[in-house]
Amino acid sequence: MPELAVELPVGRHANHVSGRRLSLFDRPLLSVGVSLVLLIMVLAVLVPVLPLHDPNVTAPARRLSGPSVNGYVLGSDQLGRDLLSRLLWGARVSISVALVASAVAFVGGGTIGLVAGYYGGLVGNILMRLIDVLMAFPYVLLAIALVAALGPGLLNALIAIAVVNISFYARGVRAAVLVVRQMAFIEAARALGARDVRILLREVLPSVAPPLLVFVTLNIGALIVETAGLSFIGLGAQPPTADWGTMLADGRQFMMTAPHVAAVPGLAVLALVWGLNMVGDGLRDLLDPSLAHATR
Amino acid sequence: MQRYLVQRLLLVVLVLLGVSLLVFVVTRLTPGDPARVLLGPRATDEQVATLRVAYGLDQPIHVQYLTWLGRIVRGDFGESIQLHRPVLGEVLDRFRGTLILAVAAMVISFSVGIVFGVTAALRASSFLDRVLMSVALLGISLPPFWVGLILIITFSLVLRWLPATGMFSPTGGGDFSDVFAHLVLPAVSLAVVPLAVIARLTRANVLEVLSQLYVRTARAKGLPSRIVVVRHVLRNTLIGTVTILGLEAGWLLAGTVYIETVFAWPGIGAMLVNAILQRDYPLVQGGVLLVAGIYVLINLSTDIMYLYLDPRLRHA
Repeated sequence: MPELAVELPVGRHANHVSGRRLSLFDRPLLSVGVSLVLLIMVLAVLVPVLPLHDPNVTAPARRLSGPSVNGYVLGSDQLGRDLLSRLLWGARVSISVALVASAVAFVGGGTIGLVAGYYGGLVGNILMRLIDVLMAFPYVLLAIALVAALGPGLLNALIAIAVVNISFYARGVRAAVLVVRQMAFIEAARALGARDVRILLREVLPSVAPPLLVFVTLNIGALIVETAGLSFIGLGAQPPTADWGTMLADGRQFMMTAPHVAAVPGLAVLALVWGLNMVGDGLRDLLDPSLAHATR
Repeated sequence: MQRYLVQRLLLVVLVLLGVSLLVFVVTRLTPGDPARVLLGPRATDEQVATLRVAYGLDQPIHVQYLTWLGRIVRGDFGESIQLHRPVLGEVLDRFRGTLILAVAAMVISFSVGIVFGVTAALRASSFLDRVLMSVALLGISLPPFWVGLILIITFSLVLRWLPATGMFSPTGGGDFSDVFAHLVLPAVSLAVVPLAVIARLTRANVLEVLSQLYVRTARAKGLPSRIVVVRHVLRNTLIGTVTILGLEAGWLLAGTVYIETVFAWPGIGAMLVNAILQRDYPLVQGGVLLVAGIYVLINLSTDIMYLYLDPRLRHA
């Protein structure tokens, strides 16, 4: 979502955060968000030991059952497979793709942003012009083109989404570094004879970390929607692997007779992304009180 | 200022060249020989070779790129392999559909989003503010394609108020009211997420301006609250609004890919997905170049609008 392209708020209080106790339950937004995300994550982790139907066993006689009909809590899909079980197994796929893609984008884009922001000059300029080229594509389009080039599939969708998001991280980190670079403690480190790599990793990176945390949280939510979108149009997970996007695409064909098959996976995406956005907003308020009045 | 504009324009050309190279390389990475795909599995090697020569696919790749770029510069985007018609005509036809959809979504998201954002900011921390911002937080979390499906289920399949797919009725359609009826659901689905984003950003913008000293001055000299808001607060949030405009344009161009697919809306997004799946290189290249070009131009005009809106930048 374009909101991520907005420059990172570098907290004036960013350096004091580690010394403050996180008061999770004073903040309803954060605690509701964390609970929601944790609940979904725990269910996704525990799914192999939960008493559920096999997600891939078909039961043609009980196809498109409604919720709580025929012993299916959330109903069954067009092949009679248990929707709840598929939803939770699909959560593992959707969440891991989003986490890995954001880690790749974080390392790639973060490095570019750190170097471009810290050194500036010719290197920085060239790097940022390359990022401009990436940003010149509406991101979904670039992801789709990349998946088409690499061939449809979950791994390729992951690569495409990671590449597309590199530009967001690069710009965000660069903007934050540009602010931090001017500060006295960087100059002090340099005066003490610290090398660039040390300054970057020990001084600059920790200072931009708190706003980055907000950025990553909000970005993972966006990545989950993007992954589901690519799978929805047939470029992501391929059968029999089910993620939330392919489940939505399946449900689309039976909207008339069994609308719940399309509704359920979308609700799952909504719940997880909503939770992540609450965590992101809550963290931002927590880390930068000067912004709290503006964003809540 | 002139120097800035010239620099900015040169940058646009550079970025577009980069885009063209990327588009070309990415479409060439695609596995599968387009000539073979086009002719089908039963074609002889000879037929495939003839077609490769006809489309210039036998040349070295840098020659293919330069030849292609030379033609593009002269306005010749080639011919669609599938449709056997010029790419430019097809892309422009399809772009009309996307433009109608995007403009409708923009009108909805901006008008409602700004009203929500300003209302919330002027009553900050009130119950109404909390409700509006909770709804907005939910709104930015919605997957747009799922919103489309839910709207189709509700308003087309259950209530039967509005058509579910396409841009016209198959028979006797095509007038304004017909297109409008077809437009409502896809435009709303496309507008929901940006609407929520705009409401949140507008609220933050207005709160920022409200804390400025000149607003306090205006209040202190006894101006009626309505005048303070319209003349001092809203005018000064314009810059922020233009920023949002630029961001949103990109999101709309991207979001149409999903929405057009869900609603079978004849636009450029659905066309591109189809062209990619069919390996119709010329159509993919032309379409992506056009969309990226428009996107770059929108960003350029946002930057120029800053100059117009903020005198401080003009003299910098």
